[in-house]
Amino acid sequence: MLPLIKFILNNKDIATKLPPGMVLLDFVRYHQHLTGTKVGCNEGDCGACTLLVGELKNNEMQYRSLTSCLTPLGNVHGKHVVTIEGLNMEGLNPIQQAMYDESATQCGFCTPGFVVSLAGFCLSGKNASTQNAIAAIDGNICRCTGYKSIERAAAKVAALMQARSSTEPIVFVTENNILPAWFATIKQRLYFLSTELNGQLQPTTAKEWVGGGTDVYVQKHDVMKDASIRFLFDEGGLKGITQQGNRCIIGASATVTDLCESPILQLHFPRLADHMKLVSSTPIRNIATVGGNLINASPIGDLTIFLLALDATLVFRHGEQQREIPLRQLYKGYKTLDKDPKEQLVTISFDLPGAFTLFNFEKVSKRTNLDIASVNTAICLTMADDRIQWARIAAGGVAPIPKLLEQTSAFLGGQVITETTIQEAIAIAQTEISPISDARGTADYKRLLLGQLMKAHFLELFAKAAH
Amino acid sequence: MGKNFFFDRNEPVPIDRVDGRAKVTGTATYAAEYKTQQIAYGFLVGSTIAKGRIKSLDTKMAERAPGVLSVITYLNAPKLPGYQTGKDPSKPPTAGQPLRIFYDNEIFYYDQPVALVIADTFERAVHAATLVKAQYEKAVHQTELDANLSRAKVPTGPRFEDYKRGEADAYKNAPVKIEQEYHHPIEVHNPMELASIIARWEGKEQVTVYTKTQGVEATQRSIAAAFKMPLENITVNAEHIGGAFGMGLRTWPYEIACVMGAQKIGRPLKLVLHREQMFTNVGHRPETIQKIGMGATTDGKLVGLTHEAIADTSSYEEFTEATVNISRFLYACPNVTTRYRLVPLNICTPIWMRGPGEATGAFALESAMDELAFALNLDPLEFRIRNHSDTDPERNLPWSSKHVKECYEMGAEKIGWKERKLQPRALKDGDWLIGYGMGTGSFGAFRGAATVKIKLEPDGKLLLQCSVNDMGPGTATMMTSIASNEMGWPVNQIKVEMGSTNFPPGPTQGGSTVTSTVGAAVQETCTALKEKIAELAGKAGSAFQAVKAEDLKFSATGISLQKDASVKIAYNELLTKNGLAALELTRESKAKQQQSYSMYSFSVHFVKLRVHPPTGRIRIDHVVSCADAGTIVSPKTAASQMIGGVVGGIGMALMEDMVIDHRFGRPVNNNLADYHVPVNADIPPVDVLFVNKKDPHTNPMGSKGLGEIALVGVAPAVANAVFNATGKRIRSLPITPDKLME
Repeated sequence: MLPLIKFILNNKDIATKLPPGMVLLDFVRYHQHLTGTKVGCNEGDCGACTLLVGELKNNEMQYRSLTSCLTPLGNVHGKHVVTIEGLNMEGLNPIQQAMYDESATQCGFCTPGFVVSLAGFCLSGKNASTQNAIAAIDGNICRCTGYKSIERAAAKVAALMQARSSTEPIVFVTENNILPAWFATIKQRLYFLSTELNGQLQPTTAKEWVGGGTDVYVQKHDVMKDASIRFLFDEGGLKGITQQGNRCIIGASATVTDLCESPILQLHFPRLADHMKLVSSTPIRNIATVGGNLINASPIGDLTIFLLALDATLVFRHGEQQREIPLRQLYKGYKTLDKDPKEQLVTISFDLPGAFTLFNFEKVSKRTNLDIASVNTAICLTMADDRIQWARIAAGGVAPIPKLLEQTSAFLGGQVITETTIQEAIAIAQTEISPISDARGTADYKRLLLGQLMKAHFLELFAKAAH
Repeated sequence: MGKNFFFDRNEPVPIDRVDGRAKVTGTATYAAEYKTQQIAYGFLVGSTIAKGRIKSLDTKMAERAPGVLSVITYLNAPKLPGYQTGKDPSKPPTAGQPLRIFYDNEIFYYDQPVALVIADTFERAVHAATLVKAQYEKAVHQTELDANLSRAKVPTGPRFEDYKRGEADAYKNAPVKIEQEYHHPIEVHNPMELASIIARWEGKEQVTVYTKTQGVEATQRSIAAAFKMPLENITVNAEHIGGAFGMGLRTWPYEIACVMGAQKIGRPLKLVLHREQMFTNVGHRPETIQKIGMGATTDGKLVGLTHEAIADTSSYEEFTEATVNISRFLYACPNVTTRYRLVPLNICTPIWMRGPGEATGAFALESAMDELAFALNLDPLEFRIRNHSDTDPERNLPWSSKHVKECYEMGAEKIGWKERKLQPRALKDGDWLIGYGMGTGSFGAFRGAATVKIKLEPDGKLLLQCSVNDMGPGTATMMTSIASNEMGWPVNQIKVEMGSTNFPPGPTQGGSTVTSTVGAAVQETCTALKEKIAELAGKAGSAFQAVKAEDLKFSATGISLQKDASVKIAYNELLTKNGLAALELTRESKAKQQQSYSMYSFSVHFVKLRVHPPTGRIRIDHVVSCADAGTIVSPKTAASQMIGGVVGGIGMALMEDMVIDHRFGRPVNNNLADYHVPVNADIPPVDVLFVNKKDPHTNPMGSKGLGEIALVGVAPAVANAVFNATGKRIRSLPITPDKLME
């Protein structure tokens, strides 16, 4: 029997027995006839289907944009879903007015997605800078306008939010007529809704497991709709980023956005924001989970490479049993894992970089956002005076698996950093990798690129730091 | 033609998009969104081979699947009368035999539709499509242009014969010369909206379709030809379409399949392609290999120019475009030779993509101009000025207008061209190399025929109707703007209805012609309306006896005498006195036969960019695009249109590339994750500058087209800037980091 999924869609209470694996996009367009949300790619690449999802966190509403083509209904159970129709007011809201005034719509097909993303910025609590408003539309593609008019509109939207200071965003936007007044009622309604939920979403015999859905819904969209699914995204035990001693423990369902916003990680990785903005786009980062990135076993997963260099340890659970395994031992071959299908990833942990540990991440892709790397690499060095005490360097896109460059790492241990050392390290790395030519670059290019990115690591960590 | 204060003053008043409100609220309705009772859903099954025959098709499982209403294949498809003649049913832009869907078992390209599965829900159609089992008799396919050059042939018809002015290949004897080959991959239009159609039959005689087309009448004619039906029995609607960039310039087989399927099941049918099918079934910008030979005197005067292009087409149709033509007229050169060839491949027939062949040709020509300037040790801007064509050297006619030199001047000033060094690698910013480049674009300033109906209501509301539609540039806004200025009416008193064959005939939206064509028709219809109002006023009262339109002052509520504002009459009174409920009139407008001028729009694009040699990364810092497009009718939409074209050009220069795995003849990167179009973060500040001078000959407004020149010339400007930054000449697009790493 299908569970009853409850959530609020715009200003309307929803209770549906449709399959929880159905994607939100199909629900709003085909079942609710809200056709302002558009279908462009069904793969999270274009942003035409962007929606907002809000939930109660510490008694505040937290809204995130997401791609509704990859989000199952099961992941919005007990939450507030906002489509373009839910942003419409008497006349245009100021976000729409800015888009209208700046001529930021042409064919209009991507426009609702942009408006929703900008509304997401208003509700995000982010600093009201133009830069942040523009960052909010990094997952929306427009093929007509050339973006400049949309940027001007984004700047106006940022200006709207400048007077907010410490007011809760949802209060500010309703008081200032930026979004419809009924948004102010959502917090209480969600609270009541949460008291009615009783965990009916988790079938005991689920065949499929879904985290954020960003990979599985690309791979097997059709199968998922009617599949029996266990939804991991909101499982309490899988959330959160905590610190125990100098160990950082990340729940498998923590999202990329959770990483970006974690005070623990921000403290220990000063360039975290720069690294993470290279990962896909805002709406994908909002739902893509760390666990998903590791388990999907892509040879080029950004977080996988990041965590390989940190020598992360994984904890798997199977019934009552738990097993620990270093991430570096997980990948056995292309998309093959040392993991029983019934084992579930629970946490990822690693030692936080200490005072003498240096970390860097580099990625080159053809496009700035929404792109898979040609090559990515991360390095973690522990220094003793001028000497590298030990090193770990990982690279993606250069082998069938996310690759920890073990020989290169071993070589670097004990070395003083000189140009020769770096050249030698690069030469050793070349012997450890086996890139193939594909749409992201030729094998030769990837070899060269890894070498250059290794140089970039040292430049970033030493040359720039010296200035 | 009445004197027009607005255009003569050349000071357009910016107005907002009239469809902006609908679009920012998500209430604009696109083809797949029309609500129809009892609608069924279709899904196409594509062939898994690129050439051969269907040996067997097993549809039993699919037919038995839940909710399935029909599975149409060549074995059971209704025989379309238009397919039986063996003649071209849809008059497409090609010679040859357009693909007749479900006609026989022959396979011409990978993913060619072999079955249409129809079910009561979309999911059930998609699921049942996976149950259709086809077996094939595979033949050897050819999808690689480079490997098939020996099969290159001159296209049918006189337009594509070799062209020679002066001496053939004269560049070879010039004191300074270059000879280079340029390559451009397949690009795919990829509008944000998927190709979509709804077809609904009323009885056996009438059909209504909502579809993603750039020309509702062209689609109407195609359906009429395929089904051998009278035009008036077919209604085609396309009020809003979510971008097209050329892919909506013909009726594709999937559209015929949907009309056929709806007829077969006796229910309305919706068919939406998957993004992957957008790469295989609705055309592309053809891959080209071009050769340019160019020679000049040592003081930089062109002596000879030879431009050859070889492009792909399908194995069943010849698709042609004006790839080499730009070399015949853009510069003053006494000896010009052009040759254009096609190679038939196992691929869907191409279709014009924004800027079409001119954009491809300009990449080669304008790259070569930069190369020769460098060989001459000349500033490439100076080299172009020295070879400026003051008249059209191809047709030996004066230009209707040409302000390219003004574009050079204002663009160079804005981008800071004087900072540019002749020698590459001379400008650095940290690890980055800085370069400047420029490219010129041009496109014919055409004008077709359009009919506009205008209706004046007693309360002064104006309604304009024309079948033309809008894929994004702002056609309704342009029409409103022109009517508002011609009548002196406020914009909110004017309503435009369009995008349907229910309205008077208008042109297809393509080739940068709509403003010239429909705009002129709006203006002429408004003029006729004013004359008619004057005539009615004369009948209505002695105060207006024998007045002419120019004696009257028109306002949104009524008219008064120019000489004496106190002599006035409101429209409701005027209409009542003439016994009319409203005043309606319809005018057709078309270009006069014009043989004495050569008409083109021009653009000049300037690019400043940076390259990071250690990784090959490219960042564009600034683009300045200047357009000589006559009068700018609607400044806000024109600026947007221009920037959008520039971004399309940046995509062409740096990213867009459909990769085919030639072993199987199928695309590898057939999704938006792997086929890259620029995202916002890739795009630098873009400044658009308009010459905004009226062309005295093109049309009453003096406008010229804009949509194509926005893109033509951008890619070579980028490539030339890359050379200026790095000293590396990239002759094969896109310019990806792997080509620049050192």
